[in-house]
Amino acid sequence: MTLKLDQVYGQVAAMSAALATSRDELVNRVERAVTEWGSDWADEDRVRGKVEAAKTSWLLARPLEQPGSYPLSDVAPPSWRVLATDGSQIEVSRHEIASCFLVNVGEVVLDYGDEPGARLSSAPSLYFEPEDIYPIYGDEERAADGAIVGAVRDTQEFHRLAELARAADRPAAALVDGTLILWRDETNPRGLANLAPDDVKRRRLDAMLELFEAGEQAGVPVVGYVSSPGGSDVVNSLKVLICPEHPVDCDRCPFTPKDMRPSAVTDKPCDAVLRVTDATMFRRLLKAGERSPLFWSGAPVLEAYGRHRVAFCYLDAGEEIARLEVPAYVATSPELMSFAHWAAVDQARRGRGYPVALAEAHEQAIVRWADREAFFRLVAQRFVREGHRVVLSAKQLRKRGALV
Amino acid sequence: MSEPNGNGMIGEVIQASTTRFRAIATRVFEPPRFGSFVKVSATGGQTYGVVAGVETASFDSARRAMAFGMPWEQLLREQPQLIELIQTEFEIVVIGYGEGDLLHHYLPPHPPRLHDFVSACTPTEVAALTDSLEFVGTLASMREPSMHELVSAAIREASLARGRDDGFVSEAARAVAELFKDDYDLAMSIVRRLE
Repeated sequence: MTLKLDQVYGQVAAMSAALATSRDELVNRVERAVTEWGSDWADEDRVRGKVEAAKTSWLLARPLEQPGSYPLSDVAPPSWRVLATDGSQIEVSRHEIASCFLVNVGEVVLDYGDEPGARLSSAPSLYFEPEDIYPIYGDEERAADGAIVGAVRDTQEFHRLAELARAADRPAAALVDGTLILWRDETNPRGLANLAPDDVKRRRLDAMLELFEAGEQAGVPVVGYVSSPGGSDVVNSLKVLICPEHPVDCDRCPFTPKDMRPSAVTDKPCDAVLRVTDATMFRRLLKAGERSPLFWSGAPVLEAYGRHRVAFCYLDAGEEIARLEVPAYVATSPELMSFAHWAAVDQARRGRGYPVALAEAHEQAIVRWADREAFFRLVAQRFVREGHRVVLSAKQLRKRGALV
Repeated sequence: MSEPNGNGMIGEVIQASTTRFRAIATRVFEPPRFGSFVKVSATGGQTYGVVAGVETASFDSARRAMAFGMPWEQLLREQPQLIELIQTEFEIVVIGYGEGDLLHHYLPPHPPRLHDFVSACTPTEVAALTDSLEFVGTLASMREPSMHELVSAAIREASLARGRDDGFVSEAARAVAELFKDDYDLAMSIVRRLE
């Protein structure tokens, strides 16, 4: 009937006990990571030589900036703007009367400084044509599922954000909720760029690159803001530095018995920093408002991005360590990067830990359950008026009036 | 925030019934005064009413406003989106309607439509509406918890619109005394509020 909390309770207690044991071990490993960062990473030539040559199954961060601290510099212009978009959707439901999906994109333009102001809005788009419902996704025709609707939504978000960036009449930063790396399309990065122009995956990539182009031309940094990031790209590179082998090749790991996979063994030299995330390490290293140096991401999907490779850094945003991702034109411009850094910190401060522009864009986009019901009622009314056949599934009818 | 359209629009109707309607103020924190006279004009004529209450809150009922601990001027620079997320609503008690040249001091056959605009009554309109003291009885019959405040505020607003008309106030006070002859305390609490 509902979740039986009394039965979960015992399991929660066991989880808590296990956590306490593993936490002590983790503390030691974080300590080791911090030490390696301070000593090994400082030797730039060694880092480049060893990380470049390594063959690993994990993602490696490659150094872009010199090690050291990157404190917050006060670059506040007299007036500036922060842009953000976010989306939500009503997915195709087999239980409803019509095959369609809806994407709602919220957008936010916040002006600060001499002329404060705000523009908050949202725009819905309905998709119902056969090519929307059975689109080509990764070179295959597929019924529009959550992944496809998500890709269409991303495409719209990037597209709108690009328009806002082009229209900016003062210094501005454009925030994206989450990563700029299209992880889902990782499997075949070279293929991605060769997909047909109307392929849903290709369109999302093109919209992302269009956003980068727009930002570059307008001098507006695009920043992907990742809250509570789970990545360990930097720690993975530290593993390579810890490993006594040179060059590192995990497929021939001498610390793993022949009949086992390296992941099944946990006393290899690199396991000294096992399960340490970049965020836990940088929590120890960064002071309020500071960011880490920039790294190039090693995500294979970025091969499809051409010259717009993605770099990232970690930021002490006060409440949490956030990950900032920026395209190459930002990463390689100290001016754009210091504005992006400053704007991210300022936004997190105003939003009490999370950028206010992203929070408001989300609020603008959100489609609540009541909105969803109202939407399908609207569709039904219209269909009835125009004489279309209206049939709800038995399951949907049951949900609307449960038998008690 | 939408701009006033130049013809004195101060709000838009979002809920309407025979005896009262509710409107969103065109500008946050700029509702008409409590007890003042307003109208909704439509092709059929005008609906007249008195502002019986004002409320400012978060736009979205799922999000409550929170405390920021800074003065407004600073808050607007710090959180410019705030003003877009709050709205002022006001409630109007219907006291009559106009049809061509005729003015009726009783409820109209139909309430105003949703999304019709609300504007303030001109002094001439207020004078015409309050030449008869019917409105005092209509407001009193609403049984609002703060009815005595509403009745006295409406009389004060009418007097203001009529150019601080002391004669009018005395007459209204007599009407109040007559109306509440069975409840001396209530009558006095209204009359005291007319000074």
